[in-house]
Amino acid sequence: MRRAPARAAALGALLAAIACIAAAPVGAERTGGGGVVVSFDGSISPRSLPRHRPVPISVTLEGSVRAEGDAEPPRLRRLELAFGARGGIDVAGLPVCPRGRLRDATRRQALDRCGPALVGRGRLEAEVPLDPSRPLLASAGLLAFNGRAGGRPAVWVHAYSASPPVSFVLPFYLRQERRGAFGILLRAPVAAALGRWPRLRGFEIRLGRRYRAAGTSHSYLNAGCPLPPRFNRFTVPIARASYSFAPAPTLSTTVLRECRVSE
Amino acid sequence: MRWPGTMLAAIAVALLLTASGAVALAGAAEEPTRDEYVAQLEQICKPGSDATERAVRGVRSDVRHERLAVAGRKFAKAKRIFAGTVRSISVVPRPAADRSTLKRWFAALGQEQLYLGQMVKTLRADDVAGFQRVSARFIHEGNKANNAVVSFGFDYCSFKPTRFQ
Repeated sequence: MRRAPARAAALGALLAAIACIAAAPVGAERTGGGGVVVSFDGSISPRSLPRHRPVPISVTLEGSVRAEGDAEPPRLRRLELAFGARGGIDVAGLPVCPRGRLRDATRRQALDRCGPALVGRGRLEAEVPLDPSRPLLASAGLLAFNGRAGGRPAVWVHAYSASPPVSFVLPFYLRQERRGAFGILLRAPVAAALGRWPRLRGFEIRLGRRYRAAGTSHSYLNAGCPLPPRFNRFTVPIARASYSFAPAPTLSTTVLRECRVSE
Repeated sequence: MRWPGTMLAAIAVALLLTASGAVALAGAAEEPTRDEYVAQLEQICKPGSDATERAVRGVRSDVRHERLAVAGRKFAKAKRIFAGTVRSISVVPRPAADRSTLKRWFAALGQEQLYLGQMVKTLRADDVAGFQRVSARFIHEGNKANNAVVSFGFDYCSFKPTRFQ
């Protein structure tokens, strides 16, 4: 911007203040309907990325489900998470964990059996309504493992809580999208995987892994910030979540965050 | 991550609050229920969505190729539609129980309108840095507006970037 020098300092301070406000986290995006409100939030690390080449990143995704008012929310049937760019996932040489090895495993057993395939960690909140008037709230640790289903990459999310004792595997089937805003789509049949109990209420998961295979460095997730030449930061969609409840509704929300060019 | 045109399309969604003077408001003297209110507003917001889409069509390419003045003209048109819609929906009688919530929502919509005007100015002035900054605030305000009325279940009257991805 071309300004008179006398005003530059004041303007600079003002612009810095505005920039700070613009860069502040805006919190989770929420959407509601059919008696249920869902939220979704996401972030990418590192925050600044090169304009012309993808680099290793990790993605943190978190969401929640709550009823509007006192009613119990409908049962979550399917969860879809979309993020990243086309070609943004690399599983070349990454060990694969067979899903069956995680069945009924504790956290320690899951790591012992499939540690080399680990691609993420997180937490999950689930309600176990054994007594509907006083449902148990289970907070489970999550481990995400590289898997394979039908010849395609998948992510097995192992959840384990010691008290109340809960262990299950949430399968996310991965599809690489050829069109649309995101390159990676993870789809989990939540109701089928969890059975009658428990019911998902919230999750937070950080995906990302650097590893070596055949003598070269790899990263499970990669991204750049391909803005046009004169742009060095811009707000872009980084992830989308779709929550499908049984029998209805399906609620989708997209997270928009700032993409910064590092070089 | 996508290039900024995708975000521009997202911005366009926020402009789907469209002008429609055809909706009769005279008969709405009685206080509506929330469902009636939402239905009435959706009716106002829906018809002009095509007009807004037409108004911002190609804006992604315009910014990509740094035709910022052209993009500015498109956003200016969209801003007029947005302002007209906000005017139309602001006179609809509100459910008593939701008045304070809706006051926050309309305040956020008013702020969005201001940011939109600033976006047009920065584009016309070829001020990329300003446009980057104001558009981030515009998105932030869109989320704030959505969060204020999340339990209303708005569709056409809400900020939904997914429709344009």
